[in-house]
Amino acid sequence: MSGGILLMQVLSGLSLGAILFIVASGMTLVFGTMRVINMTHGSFYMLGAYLLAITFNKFDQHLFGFIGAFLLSAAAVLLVGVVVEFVVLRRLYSGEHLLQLLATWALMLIFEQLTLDVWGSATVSPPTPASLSGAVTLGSTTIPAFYLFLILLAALIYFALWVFTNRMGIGRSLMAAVEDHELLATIGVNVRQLYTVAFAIGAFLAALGGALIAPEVSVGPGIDLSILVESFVVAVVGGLGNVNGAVIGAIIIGLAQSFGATYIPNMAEAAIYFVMVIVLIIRPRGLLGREEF
Amino acid sequence: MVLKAKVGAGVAVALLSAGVLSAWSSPSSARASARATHGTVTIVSIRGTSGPTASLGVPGNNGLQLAVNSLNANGGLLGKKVKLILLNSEGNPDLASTLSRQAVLTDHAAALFGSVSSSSGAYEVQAAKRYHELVISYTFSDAAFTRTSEYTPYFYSVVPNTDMEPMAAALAFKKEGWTKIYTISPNYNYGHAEVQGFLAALKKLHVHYTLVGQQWPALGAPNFTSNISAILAAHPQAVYGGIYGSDLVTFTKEAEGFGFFNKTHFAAQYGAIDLQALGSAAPAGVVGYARGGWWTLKSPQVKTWAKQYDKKYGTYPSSFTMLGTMAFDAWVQGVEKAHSFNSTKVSRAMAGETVSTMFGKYTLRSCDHQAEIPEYIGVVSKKPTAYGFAGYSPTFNASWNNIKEACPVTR
Repeated sequence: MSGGILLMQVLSGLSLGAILFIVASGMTLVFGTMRVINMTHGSFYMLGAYLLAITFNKFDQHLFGFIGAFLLSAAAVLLVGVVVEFVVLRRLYSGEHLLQLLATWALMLIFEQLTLDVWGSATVSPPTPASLSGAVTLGSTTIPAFYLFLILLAALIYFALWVFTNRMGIGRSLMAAVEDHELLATIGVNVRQLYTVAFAIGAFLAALGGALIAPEVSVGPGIDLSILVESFVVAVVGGLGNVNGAVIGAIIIGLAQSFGATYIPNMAEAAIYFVMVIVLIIRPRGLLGREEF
Repeated sequence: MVLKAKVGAGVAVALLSAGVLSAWSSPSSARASARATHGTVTIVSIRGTSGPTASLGVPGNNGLQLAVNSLNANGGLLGKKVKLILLNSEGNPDLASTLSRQAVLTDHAAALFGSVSSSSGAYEVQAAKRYHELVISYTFSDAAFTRTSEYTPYFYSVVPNTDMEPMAAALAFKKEGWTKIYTISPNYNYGHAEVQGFLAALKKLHVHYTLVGQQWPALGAPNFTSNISAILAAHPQAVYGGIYGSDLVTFTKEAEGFGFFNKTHFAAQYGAIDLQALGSAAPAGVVGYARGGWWTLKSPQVKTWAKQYDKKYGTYPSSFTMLGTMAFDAWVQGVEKAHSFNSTKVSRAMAGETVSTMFGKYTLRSCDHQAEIPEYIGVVSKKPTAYGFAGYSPTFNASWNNIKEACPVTR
């Protein structure tokens, strides 16, 4: 394999990992704080993608218009997340985890039907922002400029999450909830409010992932389920509840997809699950997961 | 915690399955007597109208519904109104299996119009065999259902199958002289059958090709970046794509960023829905093919039909809207000829019948119940059709005579 091809495979894997990180970080944050495996996470991703398709048409179809559109889409889904947490999940915290899982599963089905009713079965395909639609040539290889943008943006989002969870009061409380939410309640912290914040951030990140990738894919029914499975694999590999683990998990899974397609094309579809099984055998709690999970 | 969640998911699946199972537990003895009663006759459409195949499932069902509405508005069939029941398989073969039994045992369908994917279709063909139920596919296309021991006289295929469609593409490859080949197709029986059919067609056409690689992504994969970079690493002269629907649209958009279409030739199932979805991003110069190329037909009746569909559903029909309408026409003609809704009688009446449709006449071949229909294939052009989306120019001749397989020797 030439250096150019190798570079293309690596950048391709990292671009896959970028979106997976953005989506999986939200899932892992929700799980870490609330101990809920949120099946609606894929629905938030799907909503983000659909809303981007609508809002981007209203904006200038260049970089700043795109930034405005994806932020607006993700913010709208954040509000949906708040409503879901407040109306549905909040009533289930005292019950079995099975109830929460079933509730989010039911919501996933409801959101899928709603999107079908609202947007129909035909796929929509928003344009790539003009300034990001070209290709960047690096030596002998070509990579879409949009993918480099995604990689940079994922790094920026990781930095923002780090600042939020390490330098801001509410973020530190969230991390404390990941450590021990019961203890946090005993010292007077409003844990339910923290849950709302965690769920809203999770919804925001899922929608952000969907909105960011929307110009490169066909947005239609079913995109919720496929991303849900992959982001769950990332979260499990990295360690459920750990944002740093989501970064590592996303990079590993992205590269496994990229190199798997080249070297084991007949089994590439299963490559990420091989990785997950190997990680779980060696380290059952995931690479950076805590023993409790 | 993880274990609890897994157990929870298992319980949830079991609960939902039980709910679905209870829906088709009525005794089979009630079935025959309940058909065609109370002035209506029921037909069932099993389609994935949500989930990964919805973009193909919904337009096909819409076509059936419009045809049923039109028939009922004109007095119905043998004095009865036709009632179309949609059963949503969500693109899930296990669910399609359950629903095909429900269609026969609970809904007492006089005919069953089949799913999108061949993995779901396999269960419907089983139902056709087991219950002697007439099943007509206008989307799933695995040739095994008409050409191997899978065959049952209760099954009809009103869609170019996985021998015919790849033959159309192989004709284009031969004409263009493309021999260093890569394939990408979804990882289930249709995808594998399509590639197998394509390679067999090349051999049949005496094309001495070199297969430099193959990709088998999952149906409904969220992205194809890894597949695209793997293909480009092999430097093929041309790529045969069995991927379709929203997967093809995603692939096309991602591939464009890699300069894929400047580096290799590509042929895939770019039908009306895909070309509409891609709009100005439709890749000019690739070879596109479609099973129901209604937009290439000049008939005023077809134009009116397409405009009416657009008015009702806000988008133009898909290939499967056209083929669904043609499949329904075949059943109606079979019922009229048999003067009965009985599956056995209708199935016999349909064999060898030449069916009249607004899209032209076609014959249902007696030996394997394959419709003698063409594949529509050409070079995707930037010049828009009368409907505003990209069309084919020039086209290749993939008439029935050019793509047909001989009748299976055992029959």
